Amino acid sequence: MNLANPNDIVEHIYGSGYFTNHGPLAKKLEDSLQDFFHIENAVVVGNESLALIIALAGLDLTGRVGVSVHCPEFAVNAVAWAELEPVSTQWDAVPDDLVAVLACDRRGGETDPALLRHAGSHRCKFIVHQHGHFSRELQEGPVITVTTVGATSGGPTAHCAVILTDDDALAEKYRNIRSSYGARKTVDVRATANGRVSEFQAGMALIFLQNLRKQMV
Amino acid sequence: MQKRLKKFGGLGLFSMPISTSNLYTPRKETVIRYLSRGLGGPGGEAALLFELEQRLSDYHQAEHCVLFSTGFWALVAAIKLRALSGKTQVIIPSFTYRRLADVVYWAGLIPVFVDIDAGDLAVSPRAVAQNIGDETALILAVHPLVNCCDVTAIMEVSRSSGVPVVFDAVESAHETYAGRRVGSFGGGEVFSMHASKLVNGLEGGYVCTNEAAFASALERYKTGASVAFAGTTRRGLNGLPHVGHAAFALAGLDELAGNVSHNQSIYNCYRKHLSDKAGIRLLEFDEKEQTSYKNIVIEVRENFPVTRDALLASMNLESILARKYYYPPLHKKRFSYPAIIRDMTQTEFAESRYLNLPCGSRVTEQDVHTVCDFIDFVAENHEWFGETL
Repeated sequence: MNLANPNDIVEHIYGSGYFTNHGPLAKKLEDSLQDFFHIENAVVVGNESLALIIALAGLDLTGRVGVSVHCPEFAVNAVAWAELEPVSTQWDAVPDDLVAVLACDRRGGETDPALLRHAGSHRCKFIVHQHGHFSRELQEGPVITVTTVGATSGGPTAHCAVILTDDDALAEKYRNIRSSYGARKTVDVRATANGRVSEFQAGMALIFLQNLRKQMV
Repeated sequence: MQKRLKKFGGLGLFSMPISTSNLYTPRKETVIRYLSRGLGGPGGEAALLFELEQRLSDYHQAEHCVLFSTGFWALVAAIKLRALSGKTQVIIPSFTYRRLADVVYWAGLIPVFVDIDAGDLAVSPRAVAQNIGDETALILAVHPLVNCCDVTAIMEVSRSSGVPVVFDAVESAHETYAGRRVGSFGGGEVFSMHASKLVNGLEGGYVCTNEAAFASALERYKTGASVAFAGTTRRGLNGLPHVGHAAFALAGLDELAGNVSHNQSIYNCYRKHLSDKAGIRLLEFDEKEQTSYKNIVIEVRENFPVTRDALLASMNLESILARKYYYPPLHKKRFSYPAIIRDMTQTEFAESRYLNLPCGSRVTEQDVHTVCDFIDFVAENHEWFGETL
């Protein structure tokens, strides 16, 4: 599969005859992202906000989520959309009753080590939101990472977003919330949502990934 | 017929399965032309998205059209913004799209399932009126697969009760009601551009309205910002549309006449073949109105020799991918969130009787002949096809 530009994506879609979403290009994108990040599961989702909501909703939590002070407004809103209470949290004042921490990573690499330590010691879930950049360097440990694929702004030019996790059972929940046209085994989730990625979005994200790999060589 | 059937060791009636999805494919060159404009430089994306909104406003004769990433999230947005503040419940039909209760859940409200009108399979205005209560925040009326719901009666219930209404018009993109275009009724009508819909944008959705303030609130909402509207503030959600989807949708709009014409020929072919079949009733389009002829639905009645489910199973075995009409109805599903079920007499009568038959751009008139011949064969040889009535 050689996708050099958007016209190639259109050619590919017409060639495959697959016009609905979550088709062969979307599956190829998930495989490519898993390979790129060396992670077990890449669950592609329509956009960054939906990815955050699904990442949180799949955890089946109730209660308060610590949100690092660098998180943008839409990330804070995503916590509320997942029926959780966002609490602004700084590394030196972390409430004890958090069920999860959502940390914003604006640079790549290690994220808010104090928050991560707190999450580990309090056994609460840790979600890293890569915002404004696309970095192969993931936070080590049992974290869930959400990042945009294809643009850094999360605006209209972003192609899609991805949830990254090594937890197979959790990834299956995410795929069920996002929905996959019944292609996956059914797992009980609170509610489904159309978070699927179209073949065109997936193709654009694949081109982005290809170009990134070329730059890295 | 018998020796061709897979059931009897034959190669089957179709080399490729035929389905119920419209799957209209616009000319590739047209898609690429629009795409080149959309990706062709600064402002290209915004200009192409704006062009699509203008085209859709004109098409629906609506004053405003607001594009979204999907029809699902467009519906959530319209419900969330339109719902009466401080109220908790949304009235919806049970005999409808399988994820509609989840749409209401994501809007932060509780679905109240009400019955249909047996005549048109659409939400019953009487059931809506009877179930409006102190907690009713919104009426979510849904146009059925064939023709429209009773817009006049639903709007009158809304007017007299003071409860706002949003129309899920996903299956009625091309229709008129009382001579007026669906999408032009003003309050909020929601459409999809999923690949299976009349206008194939691969994915996408939009809301039509004649209210500038509502359109403006939707525009802000889909950026993910909080929105003040109708005396309250709601959290928005990123629902921004994709330029690639706009290119496909614009190409589809260019070729709409051909798309509808094909659907009409398929419908006429079914009508010709099914008109005298005992026990089978084709749901007819109201041709006094404009219609897309997009969906083909039959009722399998008591005097057909096998049940609807047995007919469906036999069809599916032969790669005729007919489907049960909105099955199961939502009130029969299990939910992990609160949902309220009202009287379902008509829905429960209808749920075992209707089938969607293959149609859309990939189905030919010859395919329709074959499907109808197969239905005849099942009727004549019903003892081979399982459960009889």
